[in-house]
Amino acid sequence: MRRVVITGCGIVSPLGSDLNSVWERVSAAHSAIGLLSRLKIGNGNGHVAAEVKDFEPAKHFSATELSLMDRFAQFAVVAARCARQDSGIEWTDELATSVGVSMGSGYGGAESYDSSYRSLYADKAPRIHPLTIPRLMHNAAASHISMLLGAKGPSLSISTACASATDAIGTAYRTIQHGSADVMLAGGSDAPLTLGVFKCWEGLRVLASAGKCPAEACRPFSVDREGIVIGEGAAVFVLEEYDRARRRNARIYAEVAGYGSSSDAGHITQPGVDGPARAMSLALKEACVVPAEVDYINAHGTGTKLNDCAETRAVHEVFGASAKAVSISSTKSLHGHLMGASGAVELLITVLAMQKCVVPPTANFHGPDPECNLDYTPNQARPRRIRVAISNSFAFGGLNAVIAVKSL
Amino acid sequence: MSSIEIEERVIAAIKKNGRLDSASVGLDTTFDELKLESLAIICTVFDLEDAFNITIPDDAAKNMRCVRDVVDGVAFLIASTPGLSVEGRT
Repeated sequence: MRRVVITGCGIVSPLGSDLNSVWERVSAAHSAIGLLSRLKIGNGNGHVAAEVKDFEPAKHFSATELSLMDRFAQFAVVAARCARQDSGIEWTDELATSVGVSMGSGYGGAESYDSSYRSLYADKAPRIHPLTIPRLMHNAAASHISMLLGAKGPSLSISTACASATDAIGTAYRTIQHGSADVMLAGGSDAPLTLGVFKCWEGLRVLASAGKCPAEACRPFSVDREGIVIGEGAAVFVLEEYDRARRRNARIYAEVAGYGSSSDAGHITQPGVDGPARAMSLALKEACVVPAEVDYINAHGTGTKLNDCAETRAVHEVFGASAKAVSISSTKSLHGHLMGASGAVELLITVLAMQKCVVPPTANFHGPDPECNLDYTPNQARPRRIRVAISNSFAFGGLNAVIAVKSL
Repeated sequence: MSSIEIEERVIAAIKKNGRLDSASVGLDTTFDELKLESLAIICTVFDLEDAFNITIPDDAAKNMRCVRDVVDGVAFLIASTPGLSVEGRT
């Protein structure tokens, strides 16, 4: 089976849109969460979000391009361009047919859905703008990356809620493994900060409140955690076949060594333990490592009561005696829950952590929950050589995805 | 509304949606000559429906080949819609 490595990273996120500033904020536990400013909801008070600030679409796209692109597709293309540039890959016509795209998104064009339905239902518009379908379709991110970067290999979009990006990266890894492409632009993108999406999540009663300090609203594994904070953004990787990367002396961030995917076949919202545990075990088995060799887990760690307990139990189940020795963190405490993009942003932070030999912290940890009794790297980053890491993504509907990465 | 006004607004909509700022567009200019792609044509139809508060049927939209077809079609719809505000919405 062919080996696959990460040779480029690109990101548009609440933490910033270049790798250095993202890492600086992560390692300093500097949260990007704050009061929602892009839209007013209800009385306009008290909603927190992790927003991408300072994103100027016109800097990246022509007016014609923008007329066709929802915010989630804009994020995706900008992150993909950054990843391609970061990889240093020579983008020839000859290469194009060997390059594919695999993008995850939970929502697709949420803003386009929201604004078009609003004009229809609230403003009683007699018709919807003709470009609404191209803007809102889930595959728009993959399609625009393919069109604007000239990727002519297999391209697809994957939507498995919060596991979308991790499944997209796993699928891209398989695509290269099996020889269907030599290079894949893979990741996730979501821009779900709309009235409709917020109200839907509010209905589930899983959103964290702003409290006295909005920046500390997301508190994964902490005894006083309240729930999730919705975020937006994208991260894209250049995944490349190992020999090809070696031949061109590419900088290799890490090897994608395993991908585990499982289903709970249980409850639609309540997280399972067995399903996530199997996904982690499958990823480790494929990576040919035993749990004791894993140095870091970037947890799904949403900050809900149920997820964090279930994930902790799953880690115990897989890691057994070595569970307490592995460093864990939920960086959602810093960048919020980017929905279908979260797995990509978290894997990106994971590979940066491997490069820096530093475990990212779980910010806003105010005290241990008796049911969450592992090492969550509370509040402060910690030096540690990371040879093997996994990034967990567990979706509503019981769909679980885990990527294992190894340093080379 | 005079046919000249309709013509001006149709041409403006075509230029906007086809990104044809500098093109010379007259009544007999065809969409093929302007290399107007189908998305630009349906966006033009959308804008005109909005501007004149009319509904252009699919059949009519599909048979438009030149600027005159659009101007005549819009004028016919305005004339045959009783009580329509011909001032439009833009």
